[in-house]
Amino acid sequence: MNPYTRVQRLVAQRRGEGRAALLPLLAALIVVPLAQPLLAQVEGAAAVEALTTRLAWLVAGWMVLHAYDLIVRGADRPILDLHPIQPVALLEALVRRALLGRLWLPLGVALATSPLALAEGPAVWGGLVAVVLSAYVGGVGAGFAVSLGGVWAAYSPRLAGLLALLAGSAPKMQTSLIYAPGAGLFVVGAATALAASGVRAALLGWSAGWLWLGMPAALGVAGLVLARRLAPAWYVRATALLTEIDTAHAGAVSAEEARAVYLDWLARGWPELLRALRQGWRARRLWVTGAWGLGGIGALGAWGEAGPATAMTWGSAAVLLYGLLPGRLAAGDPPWLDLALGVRPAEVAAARAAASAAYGLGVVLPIGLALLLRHGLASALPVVGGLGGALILGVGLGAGLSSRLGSRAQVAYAPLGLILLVLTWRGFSP
Amino acid sequence: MSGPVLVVDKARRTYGKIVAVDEVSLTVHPGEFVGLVGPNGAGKSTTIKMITGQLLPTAGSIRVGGIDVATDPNGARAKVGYVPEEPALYDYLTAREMVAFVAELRGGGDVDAALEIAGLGADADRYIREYSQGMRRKTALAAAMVARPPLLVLDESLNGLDPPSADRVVAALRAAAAAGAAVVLSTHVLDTLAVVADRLVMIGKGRVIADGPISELPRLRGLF
Repeated sequence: MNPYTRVQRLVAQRRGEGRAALLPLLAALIVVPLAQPLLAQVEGAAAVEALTTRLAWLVAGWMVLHAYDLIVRGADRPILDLHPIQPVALLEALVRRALLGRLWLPLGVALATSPLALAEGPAVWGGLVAVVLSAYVGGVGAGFAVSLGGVWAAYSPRLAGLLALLAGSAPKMQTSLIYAPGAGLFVVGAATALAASGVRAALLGWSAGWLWLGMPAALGVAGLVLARRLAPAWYVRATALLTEIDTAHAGAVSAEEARAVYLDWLARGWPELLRALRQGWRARRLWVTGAWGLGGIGALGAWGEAGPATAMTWGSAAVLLYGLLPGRLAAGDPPWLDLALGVRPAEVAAARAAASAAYGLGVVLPIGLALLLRHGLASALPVVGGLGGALILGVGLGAGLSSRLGSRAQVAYAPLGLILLVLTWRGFSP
Repeated sequence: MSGPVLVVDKARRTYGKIVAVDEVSLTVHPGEFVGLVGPNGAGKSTTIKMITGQLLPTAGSIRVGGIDVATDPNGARAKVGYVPEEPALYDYLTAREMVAFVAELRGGGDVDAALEIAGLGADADRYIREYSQGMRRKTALAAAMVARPPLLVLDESLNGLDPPSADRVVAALRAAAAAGAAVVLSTHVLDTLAVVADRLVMIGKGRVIADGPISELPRLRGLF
């Protein structure tokens, strides 16, 4: 048996990943009646195609990034980097893990959208599910191919000039890795859009349209064939590339920057919070700055006539996203560290929740300010209160899960966050 | 194996304008126990990373067991057992399972003997996530030694170990060297090496500033 697969199975079994994968499916089942009124608004072939395309893009994008995470920046790499590898066996094990480990994603989508089978007919729903599954396979295959291709490109002397042009402020050897997932998503996204339009055409009577369904999956298979050719030369070489990138980033941080941590004044007398804030600022900075970006978009929506409703819809989705952050923070905490430090898990969870909530305020504040200026205090208060409540609920849930499940909390939170979102939307709908 | 196990030939590593390692040359033969010493930031870890293929030299070459780490990094890895300062391990495996996994990747090895030498005999069937940092290092050492690679490289691996554990690790390394493996142990604690190393290589500001037998320790200490 493939040694990597055997170890991955053992680890997954002991981490309870099989049980954790049931949670999203359970959540999808719970979402079914909640999502029914929302799905009732999806009428006609064009609306179904639009929904199918977006859901399939979401799934494909998730899988492209997951494949990148597994083969380039995965938790296995620092372990395997100390030893010679069997590249094809490792690739096969990682592909298997990607395909089986996230199977709950297309299945969850299938369950959550099942009311469409009654509303629009089983063929419509079946078409949607088939496109999503095809995009799932496409995302995995393309993800592995572009990730390994990104390593090849980073070393290619012929591409050095182009990559230097595209590098911006990032280290130039990182450029191809930055753009690789985007390239994968672009290719699979285009194939997915064609597959969705093929299904629409098939439902309208053009039976050849069903063949288009397989395009993203076929692309995925081609990607896997390419990845298999690339793995022997480029999996191991990614190690030196990553060390170089990380060292370049470390060197770029001045001593003053290294001391400065966003919101560190919140952590006076609370060392666990300071640790969470440092980790967030240094390792998850996109979550910190991204909150203000999401808040800015929400503020634009809040400025319109339907401001409070739009702000609540967008803002609640954005703040509930921050329930994933405690799990992301836990991913950077070695399990033995808290044991060694003698810190209680509840303290760490509370600190992760507080740090995540502090970051999530970047979403709430611009929206609240826009509502206050445009619609007045009476409109702003309920929305800010609602968003604040959703944020606290989301990060609290995420942090609680992280203290039990560590980084796997993200998987457990995702469906629960979705349920919270649907409940929030329904609670605030007129 | 005849000839040197490790040949570092004018290896240079730069980060932009910063020169981390400047034309370091080093040759290590089978059975030799070499201490790589120098103050923090001297370039020891960068040199170790280049030897183990974690980082490529900007110029110069490094050959392990006759294999160039830049052109055949996977082949070179098979010749090196590497224990970093903070080893990454599968936390949900036992030490025995981890070492057996590594033995399989490396084409075989005596798992029980490696665990025993590293001093993990009684704890080998506990999950690694329950281990202290010292026990994690011992597990990494057992994994590095299990297939008896011709070169063992340890980066600050004695730091934080209690004295009996450090003694045991040192004894294991001496035994490996006696059996023909070359050992390169990096540390900034000179005294540790005084009793175990055959030869000291001192690195300062990215260059080799002294390279000689342990008998020259008093002179080297003056430089340190």
